Amino acid sequence: MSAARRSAWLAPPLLLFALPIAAALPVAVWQGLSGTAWSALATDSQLPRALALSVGTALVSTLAALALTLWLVTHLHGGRAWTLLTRALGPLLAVPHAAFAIGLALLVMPAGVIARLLAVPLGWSAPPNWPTVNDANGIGLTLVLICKEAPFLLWNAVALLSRPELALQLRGWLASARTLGYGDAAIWWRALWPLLLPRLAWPLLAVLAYGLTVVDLALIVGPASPPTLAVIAWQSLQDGDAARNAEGAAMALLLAALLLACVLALAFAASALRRAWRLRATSGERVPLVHSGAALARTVLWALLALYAVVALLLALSSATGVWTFPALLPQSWTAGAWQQVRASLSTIGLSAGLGAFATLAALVLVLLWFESTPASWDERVMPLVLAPLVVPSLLLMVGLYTLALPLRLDGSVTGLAWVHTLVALPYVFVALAPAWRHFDPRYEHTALALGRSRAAFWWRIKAPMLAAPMAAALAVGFAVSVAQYLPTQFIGAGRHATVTTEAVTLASGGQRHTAAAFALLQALLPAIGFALAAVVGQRQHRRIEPHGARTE
Amino acid sequence: MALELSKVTISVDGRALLRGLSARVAPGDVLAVMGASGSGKSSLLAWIAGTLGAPFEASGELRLGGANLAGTPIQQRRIGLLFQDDLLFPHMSVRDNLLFALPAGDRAQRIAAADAALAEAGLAGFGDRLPPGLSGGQRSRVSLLRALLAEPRALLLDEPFSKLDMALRSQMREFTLTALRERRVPVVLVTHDEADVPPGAQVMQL
Repeated sequence: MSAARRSAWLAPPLLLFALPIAAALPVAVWQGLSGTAWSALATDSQLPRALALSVGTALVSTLAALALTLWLVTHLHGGRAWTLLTRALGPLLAVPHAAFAIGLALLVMPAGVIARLLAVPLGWSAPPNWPTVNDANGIGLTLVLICKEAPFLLWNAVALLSRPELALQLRGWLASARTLGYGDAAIWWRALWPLLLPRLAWPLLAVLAYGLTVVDLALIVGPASPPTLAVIAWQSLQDGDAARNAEGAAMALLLAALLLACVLALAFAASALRRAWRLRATSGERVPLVHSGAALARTVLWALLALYAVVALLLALSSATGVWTFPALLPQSWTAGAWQQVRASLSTIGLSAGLGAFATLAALVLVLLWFESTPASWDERVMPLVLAPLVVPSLLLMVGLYTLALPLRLDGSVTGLAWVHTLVALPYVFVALAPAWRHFDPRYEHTALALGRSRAAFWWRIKAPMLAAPMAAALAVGFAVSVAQYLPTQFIGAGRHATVTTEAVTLASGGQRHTAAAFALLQALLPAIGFALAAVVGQRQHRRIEPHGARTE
Repeated sequence: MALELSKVTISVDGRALLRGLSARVAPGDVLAVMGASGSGKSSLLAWIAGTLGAPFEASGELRLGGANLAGTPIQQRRIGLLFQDDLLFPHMSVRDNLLFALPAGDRAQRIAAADAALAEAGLAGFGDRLPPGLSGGQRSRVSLLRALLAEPRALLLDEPFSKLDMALRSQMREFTLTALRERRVPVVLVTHDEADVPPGAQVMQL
């Protein structure tokens, strides 16, 4: 194939993904630079508190999730719970943030299950005054973020550690440092984490950006008066008043600036810590040698898994709950009301599934066009652009995309929704598929061509079937990402199109917890179906390729 | 402090890799274990170091200075192990790699000890460099220094020269043997290259 034809394949990915993302940012920054909006913000009395809430919840949750991740990996790596950890992370990640928040609220809120369990022994007749959900200090929001982001960071750490070349080196480093007299935990903290942590910088940045600018979680469990800055920005952007819209855009820009400031502060703190860390690492002290936190780490891992299971259970329970007075452990009456409401809005489910299917397939096609027409070395160069939707505050990106969508008449249309869902799903599909696609042995292609088969025949008959499992997995990830979108759906859809996610968030923030639970359950169920299908494809592939009786495990 | 092996048997899935092996290595002496790949020589080293795990099963007695090492964790055996790869930490300077191994104590003295070891090895001034910037031979020397500075009571070498090119190999052999002779610790060397075996070493063929 000629170079010209190869590069022609690049046009769709560049025009439909790269160009809009690259154009949206300057447009959004321009929108956010209105002088009058900034002077209005300067006099807004609730802004400082909202700003502190945003930065506080984001930093605390990011650092706590990171600490939990490092501690768990340190004590579980190479132990018997490691396989459990690697297998459990997928299902945990598949649970959408909003659904998890709605379910966790049912557990920890003042009239939640924990309070009910305590009420009988402690003789409470009214719900306690717990600051756990919609509390003024964002404790509930922080809690949800930690529980939801730790699995994401863990998944990234596990993926990093299981790269063949690194796994081999790790074994060597651990073995040689052990013979120097160090226990495993000491080896991780002193030598391995300083080496590996920089390689987790991207996921960490994504977690921080998410925590700082998340809207749907903040609406469900976040503080109310004032809410976080992202929520105020979102409310202003939805306002009918153009001046308020400009303020919203300015706040979105402010959030991006805050993110940058947080990153710089963390980088500064890290470099200040590095010296102290170095002195400690090379002090030569062999601290408690055989002591190991493995048992505690296993307990914490099990607790995290149990929490997710309880959350799912509570969503199911709550969606069918009628009357449930406070100290009672079980509802007094059951009702199908919530599910009848779901049935009345079947189109919501249809739109979620349809958008998800379209977005993930479109993203897959764009990503494959990119992979097939570029050398692997180009991936690194486009990575900042691909990852931009993950690390740039989503509000800012949406301000830009909305402005771009207006002249194209895409705002409020299903076409616009499909387009923006494709944009947000693409980075995940790209990251999920890149390792398998880029490491595909080129000799298969050479063999097929040498046998006289066409390139197309090779692709359809050899390559696509061989890579069916990673493709299915990437499709499931893209589908899950699309289904979980709240902000892009509301923003580009101009609030006219309801999905299970927008319904769940709207109902939950409106206090209708039972109906919200039903939609949250659906929100979790849709991606779960996607992952289950992908698992079936993966297993069939595994069975076909592995010769019988020759399993190595 | 002599290293004594008696009646060592190592098996995998019920099949014996080596059986009833005994040896005594006096301080400053070298036991060279030779054999084709798969003969169990690396498993023997791993067993002595304490790193042998499933699916291997081992029986026999291991004594160092008369004390039985059964059940002693690797970290407390103080048996140094050198691999084919240098396994230096790439993000820590050469000096920090050595400080990682040196026993705790006064920092200035430890730094002086690390720098003296570097100078003795012909690596004066390399302390602040990062390992990836060094040549293969230089890294091998730093790796040996690191193992020695931990003050091991015995040293195990697992084909330590096999990844070096011909010219470097003889140089490294010379360097390693001189360094080991000065330390007066028992050494077990696993190799499949006769040229690696120093004169006067006990040779055990597997």
